[in-house]
Amino acid sequence: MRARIFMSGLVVASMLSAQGEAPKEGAKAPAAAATRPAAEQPVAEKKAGPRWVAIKDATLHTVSHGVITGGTLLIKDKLIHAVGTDVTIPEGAEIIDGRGKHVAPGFVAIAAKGALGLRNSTNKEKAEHRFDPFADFMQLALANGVTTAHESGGMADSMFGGLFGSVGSAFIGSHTGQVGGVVGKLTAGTIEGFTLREPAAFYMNAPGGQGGSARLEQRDVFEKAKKHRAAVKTWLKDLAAGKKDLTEPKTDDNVSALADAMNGDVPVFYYADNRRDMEFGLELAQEFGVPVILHTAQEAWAMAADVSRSAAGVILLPRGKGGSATRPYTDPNVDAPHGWRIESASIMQKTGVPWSTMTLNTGITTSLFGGRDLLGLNLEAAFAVRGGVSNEEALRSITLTPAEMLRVADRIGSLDKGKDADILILDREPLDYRTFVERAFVNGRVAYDESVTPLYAHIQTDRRQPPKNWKPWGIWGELPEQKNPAPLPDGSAAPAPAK
Amino acid sequence: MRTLGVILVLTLVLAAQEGPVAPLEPGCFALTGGRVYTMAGPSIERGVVLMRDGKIEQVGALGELPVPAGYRVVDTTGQRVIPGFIELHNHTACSDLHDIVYQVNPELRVLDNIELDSPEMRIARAGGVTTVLSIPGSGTNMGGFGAIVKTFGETPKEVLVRFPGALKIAQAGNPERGNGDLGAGRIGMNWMIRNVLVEGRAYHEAWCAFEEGKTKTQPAKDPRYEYLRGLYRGEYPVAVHTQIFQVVQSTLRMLARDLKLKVVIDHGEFDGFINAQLAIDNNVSAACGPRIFWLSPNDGRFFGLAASWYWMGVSDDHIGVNTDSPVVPQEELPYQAAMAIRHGLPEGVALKGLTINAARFLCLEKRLGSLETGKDADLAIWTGDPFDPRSRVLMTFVNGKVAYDAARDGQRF
Repeated sequence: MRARIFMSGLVVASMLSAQGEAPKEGAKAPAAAATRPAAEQPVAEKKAGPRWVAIKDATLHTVSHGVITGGTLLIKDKLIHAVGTDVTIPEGAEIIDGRGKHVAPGFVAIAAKGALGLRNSTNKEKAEHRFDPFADFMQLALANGVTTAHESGGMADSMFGGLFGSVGSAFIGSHTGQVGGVVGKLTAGTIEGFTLREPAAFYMNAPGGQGGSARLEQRDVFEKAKKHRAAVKTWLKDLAAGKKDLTEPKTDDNVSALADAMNGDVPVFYYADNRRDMEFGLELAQEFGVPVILHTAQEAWAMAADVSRSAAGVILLPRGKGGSATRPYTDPNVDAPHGWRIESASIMQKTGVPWSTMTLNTGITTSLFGGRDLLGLNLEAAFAVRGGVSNEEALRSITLTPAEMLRVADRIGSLDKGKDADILILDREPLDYRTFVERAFVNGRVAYDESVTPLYAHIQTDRRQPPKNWKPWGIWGELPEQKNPAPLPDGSAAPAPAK
Repeated sequence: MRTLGVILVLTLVLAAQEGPVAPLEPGCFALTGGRVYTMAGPSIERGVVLMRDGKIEQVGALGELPVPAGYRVVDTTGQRVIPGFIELHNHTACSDLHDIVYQVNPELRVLDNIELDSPEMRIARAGGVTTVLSIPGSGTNMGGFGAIVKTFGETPKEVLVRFPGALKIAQAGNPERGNGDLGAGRIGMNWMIRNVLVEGRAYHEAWCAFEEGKTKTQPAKDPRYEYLRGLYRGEYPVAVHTQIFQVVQSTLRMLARDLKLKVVIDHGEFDGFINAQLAIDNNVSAACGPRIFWLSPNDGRFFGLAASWYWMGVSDDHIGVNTDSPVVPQEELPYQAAMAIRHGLPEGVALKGLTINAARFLCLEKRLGSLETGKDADLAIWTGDPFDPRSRVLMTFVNGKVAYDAARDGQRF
């Protein structure tokens, strides 16, 4: 499987390198170029004027300014050049017929594990040095619309195992916090334009069941960061005043990152899913002026006013944790609103708290959580609609809102002029459960093409017959016809099979 | 004459509308104006469903089927009325998963563990699920007998649809954990299953001979085999946790072809569908889940499992979908079907799979699974396509009672 997808990755890459050429009438890419991944292309070959791609007459889900029907989206090289109904398409542009198609910004997986194909979990090296642009996970995630992923660390689950490892949280961290992670693009086939932001954020787990000492330790980190920030301020002031014999205040990376967060330079993800943990996190956020983003905030709905006051936003599972972890939304043993509620997202929306959608399994799996991993990010958002938000608000929760939380909204998250051309061409509307990605552009380049990568192209709605080249018993050979069934253990003869 | 008739009818209708409002009769409901999926013929664009005393009284088109006085009318215009969904593989309606005593336990039953109005069932109703087959877990090769229960009811009698619901057999994939009496290989496990079923058959035959007067000697009662008799009478099926090609093959050969039991492949996963012809030959139905699609190692493509059974020639009357709740939460049964549809199963087949097919698999097609006169009044009112995660249930009726009302109870799912 891996080999096949790897091969298809090469095919995509080669196709892309062909597209990397300037659009010339009837021109074909040189044969040599077509067999080489884009990353290996000599730079000289690309200097032939801008490359234009126009998606014409499509339904454009801009996210930032509504839905445009019969609109055109124009890509110039790596960026979106124009979006609207009166877009002039330059001569020589590649034109994609968008009739009946939907165009949306690529989905942003705010809690991901494995989609970027990172091969090493130590965070010691830069992500772009340890990711595999041909990773099968990357193709799978792209095939389901994810073009950007935020990975806070940790290894990817294997596709058929590691089922419970990543449930609920993409970060296995500590209550004293850690700076790291990467916001990367799924640039399948090339390493160019991979990193959006690294390190991505400051991560901190709620003390949870670790008790009072953990709470004290966590508070201590905040105190240190506050002191460090004050010390730096004084130092800078003294420096500006021309004072002599100054020593630069030093502290460890984590404290310094949290101090940066206090300046608003670094997003803080605080992992807390229940009231008790969230209350403590919000108390710190309020006291130290750090607008935290509550991660896996299962019970945020139950304290919406507090969240709205002290948090910068929440990341939640509109469907709740589900499975054996489903908590009924009223438990008579707890004397306060708590638990999971399908209206979580809608309550956040009404309270004005920015919210992003995450998936139950933050990796990719075909195991028991089918449709609850990154392959179903848009479907998880669809459950927020069930809980009362609009389609547009739900789509925002997997595009622009996570981009804003990750501080990369100037680059991605909506269909706007000047943003990166990270775009999906879909066969149905983005939140439909039957939607498939036909093409995914990343940085203006086709990173996934349904007709090239053999994952879903054979699936058609209401197909009554199997696909033509279907060989379900490939590795076993054809089944023998059972003409002489074996007798039963008690000695009686088994009947011949009914016809 | 005809004109006079029309005038008479009109007068009666007007009289009915303008007269004093008749007091509501308890247990009488009329759902009017919604699209009704009867599952017993084409859907009715704007239909009327009358329920009385826990049963479907009549189903018809708006304007053709009058609403009698005294019925509580629920306007379902713009909504969909769909039979309650039936789960074929549930572990949450009973408070314990199962007991592991021996490698095969035909004497065990979940009957005594049924929990009324459990939190899981409360949410399940909000997903439009009205009946579940709750079966023991798969830690042994034969977990015991499951019960078919409604997701709502105030008394055990109301909740219990049938016991025994089905025998739970787990052929492989989990029972290996206990290492088995004969080791954890499939040879030994299959021997254990077959052996106890053959013993049960001998017990059944001995009793039949006595009951039919062919022998005067009354066989000794043995609780170990007592429930197995119903299997051989064809009263209830064997729900088999079976997956992968080799195991499904032995399910079909041993249980269906050789022992002639009514078999439902529950939990049908991976490449089990390769045995489709054997399933067709032996009249076996296949329910898929919790794993609902797979990435084929043959060619790196995604295939829906239910779609694969279907493409292999299993008819749309024999395809089902299950959750294995709590592995997939019970309320997400329609979402499981949505994933089956996403991966190639026609929508109509999926809808049959959750309703009339599931009822037939459980030998309950005369009581459940469609909206027809005399059947249990189990249904849900949906805002739209039940497979679309964005749709939701507004009301669920179980045995003609309001089991869930989003307006009254708050939206639970």
